[in-house]
Amino acid sequence: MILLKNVSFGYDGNLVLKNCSVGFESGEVHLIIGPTGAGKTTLAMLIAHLLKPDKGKIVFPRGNIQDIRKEMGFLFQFPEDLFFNDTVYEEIAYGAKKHHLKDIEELVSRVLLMVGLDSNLLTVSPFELSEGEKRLAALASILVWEPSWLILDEPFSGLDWRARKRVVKTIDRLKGKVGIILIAHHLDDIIGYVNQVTLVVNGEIAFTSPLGEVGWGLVSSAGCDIPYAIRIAKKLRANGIKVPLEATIPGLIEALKE
Amino acid sequence: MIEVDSLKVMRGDRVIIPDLSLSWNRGEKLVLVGPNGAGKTTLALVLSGILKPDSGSILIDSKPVSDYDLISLRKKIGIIFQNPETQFVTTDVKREIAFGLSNIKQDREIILKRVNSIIEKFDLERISGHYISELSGGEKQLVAIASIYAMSPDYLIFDEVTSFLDRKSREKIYRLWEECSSSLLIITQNFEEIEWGDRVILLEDGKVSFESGVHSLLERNIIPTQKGLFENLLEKSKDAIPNFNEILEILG
Repeated sequence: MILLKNVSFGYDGNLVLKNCSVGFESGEVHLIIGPTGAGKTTLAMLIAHLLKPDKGKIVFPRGNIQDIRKEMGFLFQFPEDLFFNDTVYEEIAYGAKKHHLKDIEELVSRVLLMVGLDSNLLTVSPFELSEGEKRLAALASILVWEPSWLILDEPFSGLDWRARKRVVKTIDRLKGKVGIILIAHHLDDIIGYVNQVTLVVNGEIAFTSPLGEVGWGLVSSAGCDIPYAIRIAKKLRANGIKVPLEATIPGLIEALKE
Repeated sequence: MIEVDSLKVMRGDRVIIPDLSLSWNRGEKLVLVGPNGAGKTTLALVLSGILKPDSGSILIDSKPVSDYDLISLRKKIGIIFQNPETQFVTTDVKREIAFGLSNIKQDREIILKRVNSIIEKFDLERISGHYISELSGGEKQLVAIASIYAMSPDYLIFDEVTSFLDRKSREKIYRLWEECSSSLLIITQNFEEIEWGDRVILLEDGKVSFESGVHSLLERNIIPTQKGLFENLLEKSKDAIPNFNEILEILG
């Protein structure tokens, strides 16, 4: 478990996060939501130890920061910022080489399949890819070295529905083995796989709770998206049909059948 | 009107757009959807004169793109990139918004006035004194939109600009689309945004594989943006929203 205790952080005196306490379980999918500029990315960077808190403490498993950093894969919002190799193959293989893994070619083709990137693109420069393809290539370059924590900052933006589905499937496959910390706005693709939800508003943790106990009213009034199923359930309630606030469409359908 | 005829665009050895013809009318709000790598951004770059096509022609108001000088081209057509980082040229929010305006040779007085009104319009007061490097991804996206919008070009391309924005900020952009008198090209992966257009085009492998007026799509359906558009588009690109038909059946 990664634990943040009363963490505060600011850039040049502008406090971005204030007194945040929240825990992240290994093996779980933990969704971080919040309005634009709330401090979500800063929170993720603190978790990844890319930034140091001004105040408060971050407790990592086994306490060794150097080790834990080697186990953390971070997908940035603008992934091409990190590209530096000549070809997509080299870009993806780099992480595997750095972690002294064997059978790199096989590993690369496996993650390529996982994210659904066309193998014809392996010889292309990563900078020539479309924005969506860049994101998938960046994700592949992280997945290839099998980190034990994945921090994904808006992994779905710019992806078409097919790619989103594949990324969700990948997350589902890794769930249970890897701690996944996810920042997202559109929740419909992923919500069915989420264990824990944290809402960040104005640099503060508004709440952190299991999916079933999320106060969606609070999320909505913070200006954030709520799942489509919740929207429908609320409409049904307004029309006098009693349904629980299920976050997923299949869950809502089950509830309606009953 | 922008007329594209027999356009072919390669990037490196890849053919992105093999042979494309389409038109974008003055005042029209055109929505462009399609899978990753279909050529949406490439088309946007070519239309705005940033990328040169390998062959084919593009006429903006009856004049070839290549015949425009840079200043008149930027007054004519503006593009807001998917990744706002790629379009910033200055270090802080106010300068960034002023940059485009000074680039198209506006007077200092006009620039100052316009910058302030844009900051107000986009609710950027809180961050207007910040460095761009201090902003979050979503805030950067808003500043990028604001600084191109400030130039009020005749044709305006929004390339997946809402992808990092929360609902509230997205709604701000939607209001902009509604009020805006420029011709808009909205590129999106969010099917709900189709409702802001007059016409929608589905681009696949650099080709138009589906085209329809948005109004006629909406007319035929009960829950407009969600049911109708999805069903029509999904005939082409099946089951984007899992169990969607199921829930509609239950809802009757």
